[in-house]
Amino acid sequence: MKVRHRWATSVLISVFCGSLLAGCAPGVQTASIASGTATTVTQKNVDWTPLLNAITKSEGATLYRLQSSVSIQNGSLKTSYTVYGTIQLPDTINMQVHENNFNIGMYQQGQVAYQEDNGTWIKMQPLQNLDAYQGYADVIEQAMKQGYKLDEMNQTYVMDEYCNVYRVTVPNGMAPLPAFLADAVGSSAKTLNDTASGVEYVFYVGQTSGYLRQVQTQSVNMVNNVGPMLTSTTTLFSAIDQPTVAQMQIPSTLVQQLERGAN
Amino acid sequence: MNKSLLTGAGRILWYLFWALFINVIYIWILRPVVQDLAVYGVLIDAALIVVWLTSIPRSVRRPWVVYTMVVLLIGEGLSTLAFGSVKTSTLGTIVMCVGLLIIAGWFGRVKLLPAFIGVVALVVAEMFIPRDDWAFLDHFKILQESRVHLTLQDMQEAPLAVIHKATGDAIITVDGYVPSSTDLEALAMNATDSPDALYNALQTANGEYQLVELEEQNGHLVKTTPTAKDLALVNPLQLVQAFFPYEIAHWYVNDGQISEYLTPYLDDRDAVATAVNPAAYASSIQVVANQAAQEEIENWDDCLRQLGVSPASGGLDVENGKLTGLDRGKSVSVPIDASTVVGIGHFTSKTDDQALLIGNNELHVVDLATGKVVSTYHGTVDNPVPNDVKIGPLVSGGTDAVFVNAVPAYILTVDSSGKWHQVYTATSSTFRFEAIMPNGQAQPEIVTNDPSMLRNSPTRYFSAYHFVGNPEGHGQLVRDWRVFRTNVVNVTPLKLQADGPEDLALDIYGTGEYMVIQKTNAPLLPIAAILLGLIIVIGWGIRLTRGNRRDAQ
Repeated sequence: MKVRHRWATSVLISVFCGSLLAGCAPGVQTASIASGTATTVTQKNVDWTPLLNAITKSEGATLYRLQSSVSIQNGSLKTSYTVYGTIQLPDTINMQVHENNFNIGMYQQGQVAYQEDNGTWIKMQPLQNLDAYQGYADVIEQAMKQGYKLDEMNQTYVMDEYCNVYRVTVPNGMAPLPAFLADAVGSSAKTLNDTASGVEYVFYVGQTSGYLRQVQTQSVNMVNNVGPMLTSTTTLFSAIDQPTVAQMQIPSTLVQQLERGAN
Repeated sequence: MNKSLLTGAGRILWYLFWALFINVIYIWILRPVVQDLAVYGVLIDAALIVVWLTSIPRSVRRPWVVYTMVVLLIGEGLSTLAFGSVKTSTLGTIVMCVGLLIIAGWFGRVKLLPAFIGVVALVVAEMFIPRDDWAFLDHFKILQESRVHLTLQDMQEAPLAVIHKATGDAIITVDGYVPSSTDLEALAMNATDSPDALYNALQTANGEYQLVELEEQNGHLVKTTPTAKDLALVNPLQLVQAFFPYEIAHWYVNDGQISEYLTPYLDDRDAVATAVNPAAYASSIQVVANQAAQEEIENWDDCLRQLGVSPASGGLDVENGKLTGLDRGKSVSVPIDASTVVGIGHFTSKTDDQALLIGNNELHVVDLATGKVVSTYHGTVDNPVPNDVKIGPLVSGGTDAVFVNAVPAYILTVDSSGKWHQVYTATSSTFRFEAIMPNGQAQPEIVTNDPSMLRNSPTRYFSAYHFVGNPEGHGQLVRDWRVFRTNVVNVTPLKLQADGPEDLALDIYGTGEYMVIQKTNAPLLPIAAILLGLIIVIGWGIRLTRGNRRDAQ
């Protein structure tokens, strides 16, 4: 009896020790932004109206949270650029940007704008255009006008609601660039089109809210002397026009710094 | 049984052997089984542990099991401590070893002197090579294991830019150093050329990087200061991959050598302006990357000028819409719309020298003798051609295939008429081709980093396959070996001696550790497994002849 008992113990201990190895540990890494991704095309060449309605409704929103991540594959390595912030149109924004390992903070209300580097806030020129939906509106309208085909994909759960998913591939450069890049070398729509694959946009339209909730893009972008880089982006919109959830606040460190009299 | 099984020197040797052997078994067999087979592996391990337990004579079971656990724990602890500073790892090692030995002696009745010697052997072994890297040893000889100093916030792994010299290949990488206050003062006083110069110079007070060269000298890889002539061979954009284009390396010449520090490329306002225009991310980053690449090259060439040399890649290059350079002493000049050269191989014919170039989501095969584009492959958005492409034959002596690391990765071949065939597509989205190694056999080894087929985990291991199937139709990859080491990045084939064998240089992500390894064909893994089997059988023998007699009393 005693011997059998000891046997059972040693088997149990062995199984326990074995399970401490990596095999039984939760293995799947969570993505940097937790959200659904549509995988299959369910219908080709569908009507643009639902997507157009969604972008029109979204363009009407004045307050939302924006969350983005851009990932570039360059050779065997990947680098990333992530964005997290709240935007209140027309001119208020509170945002954090992580460029690989450098962190940037920015706060703007009207003509007041500050940037944060290494814990210090510095005055800066305010940004003019803060509308994050506008570029998407331009892409959707032009793509429709120029006759690009819209595909519907499987419905997908994003953040807090089910979304209808639409996909279209358009030439690179259809979305207008930020103002500071307008005159840069290689920034014309023609050059961009010549030096990159098309950009595949996947739009997620909330079934309940009717807003554009998520947009993903895939593209191959060419860089001289570096070669084509695989670029994938994910952008999420949340707390749209919900002032109780997306509260706009002046960052407390900025308040403290200004109260100390340091400008 | 009052007499011990072993006494004196024999016991010490046995303890010493076991300390190393059980750790080898853990790294080569126990852990890999779980990493590859998930819960089935756990069951296999549990069964192995039970079988092993039955082979230990009862009188020594407690101390022996405790000693085994202690050496496994110390093995694990040491490989974790290996990447701390000298002070932390020394202190940690002493506290861990002494503490565990006391516990082992007290509760496990382990004989302390032989146990101590076993532990010392383990510590010494891990000083040479951390235990996690022992995983390489069943298929590779580690020619060199060392590390450079990196601030992990700057980059997670050392860049490995290979240069081809007449005597053999060498690696250019970076090594962190903290400038002395006099150096820094001189640097600060000379920081006059831009409004940000002083700020940038003083940012390096906490550390910056010096370019170093790893080259073969008398059979060893040594860290030296690269000569100007060697630096002229470097493609500077290979040094910045880990952070390009968000951060930019600033190179400057100091005391005849090149140093670098990193700053973000976009200023804060531009970074936020980019952020609030998500529809244009891909194009914005493309424009920014082009600017950054241009600046990096100008900066690098300027440093070379200060050192009195001009850039000389020594191979083929694309410049101003033309493929230029030397092939077998003949100069080449072919107009082409491409950005980079992957390499020279034989794609449509086994005899002609052909270059593979990457264009805008395209691959071009250029015949170097005739100067004509033989064939072009067009990628799509869903099946793109990124700048991560390897070339090598699927069958020894055959034409070269093209291994494209897209998501998922795939293999292309091109037949003599110039028609492309996608002969293999990876089943996992994280599968990566690293290198194609000729191994003197009919099928070259396709070295990869790929995850377990069974486990629902993207963790990748360093592996090799060979291709089975029709090189102009469809085929499969069959695994040759797998080294259960994760975080293997920057795998770079190189020949340290011009006429020597092909080795692999690689980095371990997040540590600054780099290695140069060479394939061996000794069947070490089967030998270890047979030894373990023998030990168990001998244990049973001892129990049957001695242990059970005592049990019967």
